[in-house]
Amino acid sequence: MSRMEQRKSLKSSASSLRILGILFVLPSMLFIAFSMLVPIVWNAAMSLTTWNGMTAVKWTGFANYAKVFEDAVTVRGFIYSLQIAVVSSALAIAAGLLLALAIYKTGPKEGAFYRFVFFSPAMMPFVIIGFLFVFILSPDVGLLNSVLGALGLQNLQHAWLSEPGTVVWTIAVIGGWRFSGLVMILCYTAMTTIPSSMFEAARLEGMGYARQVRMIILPLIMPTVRLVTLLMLILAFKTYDIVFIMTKGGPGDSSRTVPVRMLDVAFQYNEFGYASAIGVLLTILVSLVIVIVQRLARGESYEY
Amino acid sequence: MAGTKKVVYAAMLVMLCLVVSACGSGGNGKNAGASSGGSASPSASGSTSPSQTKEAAPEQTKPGEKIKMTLMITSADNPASKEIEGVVAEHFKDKYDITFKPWDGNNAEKTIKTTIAANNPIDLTQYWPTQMETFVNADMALDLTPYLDANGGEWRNSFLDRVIESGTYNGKVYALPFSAVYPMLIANQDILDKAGVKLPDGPQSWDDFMAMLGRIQEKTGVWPIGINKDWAAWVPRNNLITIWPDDARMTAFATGKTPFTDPLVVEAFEASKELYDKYVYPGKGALTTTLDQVNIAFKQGKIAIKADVNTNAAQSIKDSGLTNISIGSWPTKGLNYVLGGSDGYFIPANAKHPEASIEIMKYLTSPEILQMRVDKGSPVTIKDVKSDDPNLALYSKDAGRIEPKEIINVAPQFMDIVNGKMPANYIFNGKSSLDELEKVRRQVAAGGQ
Repeated sequence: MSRMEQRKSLKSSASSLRILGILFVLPSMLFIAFSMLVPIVWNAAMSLTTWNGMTAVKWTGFANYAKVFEDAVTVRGFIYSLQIAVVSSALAIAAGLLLALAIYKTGPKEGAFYRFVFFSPAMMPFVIIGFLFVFILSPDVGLLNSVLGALGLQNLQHAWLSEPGTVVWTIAVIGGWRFSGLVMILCYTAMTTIPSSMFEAARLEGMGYARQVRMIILPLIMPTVRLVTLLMLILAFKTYDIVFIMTKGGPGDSSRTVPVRMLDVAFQYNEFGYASAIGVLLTILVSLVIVIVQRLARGESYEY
Repeated sequence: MAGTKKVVYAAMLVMLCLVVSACGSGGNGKNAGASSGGSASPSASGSTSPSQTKEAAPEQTKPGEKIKMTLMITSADNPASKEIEGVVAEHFKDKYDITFKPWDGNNAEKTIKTTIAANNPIDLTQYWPTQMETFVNADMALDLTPYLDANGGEWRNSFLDRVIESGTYNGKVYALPFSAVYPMLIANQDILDKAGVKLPDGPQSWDDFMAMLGRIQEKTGVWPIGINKDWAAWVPRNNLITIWPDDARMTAFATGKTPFTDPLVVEAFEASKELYDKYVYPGKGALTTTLDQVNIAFKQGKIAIKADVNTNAAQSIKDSGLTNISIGSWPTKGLNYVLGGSDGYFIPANAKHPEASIEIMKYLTSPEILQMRVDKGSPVTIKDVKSDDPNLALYSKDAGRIEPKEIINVAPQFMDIVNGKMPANYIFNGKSSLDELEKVRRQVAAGGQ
C-alpha cells in the first residue's frame, strides 16, 4: 500500500469514527436541546411578547422588562429571593462545614451515626419539611414558641410566618438547615481524601486541631467549598416549594419570592410574556451572583 | 479554521433547536386539540350534538376502549366530595376510565389553566360560577347553553329559578352551580351566654358586631372570633360590598368605576384591620391560622365564634362536638348583602371528550348525586331533593342575600390581590397597599391588562 493510500485509509477511518461519535452523541444532544435549550430560547422569545395562553401571540419588544421595574411586588420578590439565597446558602455552608469538621474528629461508628442524623433533612421532601415547620412555628401551639415560653423568653415569641419582619428570615433559616446536611457530606467526603501523613506531620509540629483546620483542611477542601457554594446559591434562588407550602408567598406579599410571583403572573393573570421576562431576569441575576461569588472565592488549588 | 468550525457547530445546534422546537410545538391549546381530529361521540341525550362548538376538541377512541377522563371535583373541606367521587366512578365504570384529582380552591385556577395551556385539560372541574371571567374572557370554557336547552330545556328546568344566572356571561352559560355558598358564623353559645350576648336572627350591623366581640373578650377572656387564613379576605370583601349607601354606588365599585382611594373603600379596609388587630385568634398569627387550628381552638373553647361556610356547617358543628351552638349571619357595613356565589362545575373549551364531560356533569347535577350533599347538610341548587335536617334552613337562610357582583370578577389581578393578599397587605402597609389595586383598576379601565 502506497503512502498516499495509507493516508487515505487513515483519513476515511478517522471520519467514520467521527460520524459514529456524532451518532452516539446525537440522542443526548437531542434530549438536551429539547429539554434545556428549546425552553430557554422559547422563554427568552416569549418574554418579548404578550400571550394569555390561548389567543394569538403579540410582539411587544422590551415592554415586559420595563414593566418588571415598575412592579413593586416583583421588585420586592427579587429582594426576597436574594435575601433567602444569600442567608440560606451562608447558613448551609457554615453549618455544614462546622458539622463536617466536628464529625471528622469522631470515631468511625459514631461518625456514621452523626452523618446519618445530620444528613437526614436533605433526604426529606420539602413538602414534609414545610408542613413540619408550619406546626413547629405555629404562633399559639407551636413547639418553638412553647419552648421559648417555658424558658421565660416570652419577649422572643413571634408569629414567625405571619410577621413581615420574620417570615423571609424564617424561610431562609429553614432552607439553610435543610441543605446543611448536604454540605456536610460533600465537605466530609473532601476531607477524607486528605492524606493522613499531613496530619501526622502537623501533630509532630505541635499543631492543634484548630490550626490543622486553618492550615491544612480548609485550603485543601476549598475547591469543594466553592462548588458547594455555587450549588447552594442556585438551589436557594429557585426556592419555590418550601415558600409555597409554608406561606404561599404571604401573608399578603411578605414572602412572595420571584418563582412564586412568576407563577402567579403566568397562571393567575394569564400574562405568560411578563412571567417569561421575570424568568429571564432571574436567570441573569443568578448568573451575576454566581460570577461575583466565584470571583470572591477565587483561590489556589493544591495538589497532594 | 477552528473558529469557523465552532461557528458551523453553533449554527447546527441552533438549527437543531429550531427543528426540535417546531416538532415539539403543538401550537396553542385550541389548535393542537383540533388537530387530533375525529368527531365527538353521539350525545347521550340523543339530541343534536351541541359539542360542535368552535372550542371543542374531540378525540377519537378505539371501539371497546374506555375513554380516559380526568375530573377535579373533590374538595378536601367538603364532607360529601369523597363519597360522590366513589359513586361517580362506580356509575361510569363501564364507559369511562376516570382519574380524580383533588380540588384545592387556592390553586384551582393555576392548575386548570396550566392543563388547558398544555392542551391536556382536566375534563370537568369544580369552580365558582360567579368567578368565571378569567376563563370566559380567554375562551377557556365550554359554552353549556346548547346542552341545557336541548330536549326542550329539560336539564335547565331541573335547576331552581335563577341559579343558573351565576354562571351566565353575555347570555351564555359557562358553569353550573350545585350549591349556594356564603360565609356565616357559628358560635359556642355557652361562651356567648357568659358574655351576655347573642347572635341575632338576621344580619348584624358591623358596629354591633364589633361591640359584641369586645364584650366577649372583656367578659370571658377567650378570643372572640377565629378565621381560617384562606377565608381572611371575606372580611374586606364583604365590607366592600355592603359599605355603599345604595346599589348604584355598590355596582359602580364592583365594575371598577370607583377608585380605591374613595374614603368608603379605605373605611372598608380599616374596619377589617381593626377586627384583625383586636379580636381574631390568636392575635399576631391570625393571618396564617389554618382551618384545623381554628376548628381545634373552637372545640377547646378558646374561641367564641368561628367563621365558616354554610355548606360545611352541619359537618363542622358535628365535628366540634359542641351541642349548644348558634348560627349567625355575616355582619354588614350597611347594605343587606352577603358575599358569596355558588360552587359549581365547568368544562374547559379544549376538553378532549366534551360529550362525555357533559354526561358526567349532568350526573353530578342530578337529584341522585345532589341528594348526597343535602344529606350532609349542604343546601343545593336543584329541585327534587329532600331533607329531614331541621337546621338545613338555617344553613341556607342568607342564600337570598348573596351579591355576586364584586370587584374581584373584573380582572384576575383583582381576584389575586383582594382575595389572596388582603387584608394582610393593608394591615402591614396601610393605604399604600391600595395603590397596586388602583393601578390595576386604571389599566383595566383603559382597556389593557
